[in-house]
Amino acid sequence: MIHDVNCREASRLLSQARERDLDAGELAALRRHLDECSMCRDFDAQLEFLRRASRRMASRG
Amino acid sequence: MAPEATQLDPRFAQIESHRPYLVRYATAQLRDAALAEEVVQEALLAALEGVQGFAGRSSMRTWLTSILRFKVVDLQRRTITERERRAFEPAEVEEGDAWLDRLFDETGHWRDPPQAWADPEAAFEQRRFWEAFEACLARLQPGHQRVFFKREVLGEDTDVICKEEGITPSNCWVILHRARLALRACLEQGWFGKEARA
Repeated sequence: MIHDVNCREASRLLSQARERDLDAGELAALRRHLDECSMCRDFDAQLEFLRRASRRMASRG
Repeated sequence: MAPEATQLDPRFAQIESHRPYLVRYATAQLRDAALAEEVVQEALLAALEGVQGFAGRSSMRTWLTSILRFKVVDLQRRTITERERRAFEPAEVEEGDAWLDRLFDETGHWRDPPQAWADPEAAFEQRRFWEAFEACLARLQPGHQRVFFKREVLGEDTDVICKEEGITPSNCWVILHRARLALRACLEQGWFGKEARA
């Protein structure tokens, strides 16, 4: 179990979660943070959007 | 070039009188007005230095154009080399987390918090969105742009990217984190944000 994370840490974990599996402690800390923080939930949605837009760009040619 | 010589030799004024023609010629070649002015300036300086060698066998305009053509080709070659160099610039990672300090305050909070983007998928149907998206991608430093492109556009695995780029996985994660933060800020400013919509 890692300590609580702030937005800076949460943004790092949200980005890395797209490359690697977070460990249980990281996941728990991230979930606790996201429960409280709508800004980081918006950030997570934006990362997902960036991925969808990028994939879409590839298929647009 | 000694200043008094400029006043003495009537050919200097003659050279200068061809400038507008030469600028039009260079602009047509380079499709860039500022670069054209620059390259014409270089050509005219070279002509002034070489004016003693101008034998008058060809017209002065032909002579000046041949100097300019040489300068244009030289510039094009330099530009291509610069572009290639940038394309292969290694994906560098700054030491430490200082770059994050610009985005988060001392307590780790967003300085410029993300906003909720209304109906983002609708943007996919708009040509201007793709222009904005590509412009934001282009603003990333070349190495970071390449890593982001491989990961998100081509969908390559991180370990493949690391091997190709010669960087460690953790450097790769830092680059992607940084690129994503920059892209979301750029899109929010240029497309989704309240300011962009106003």
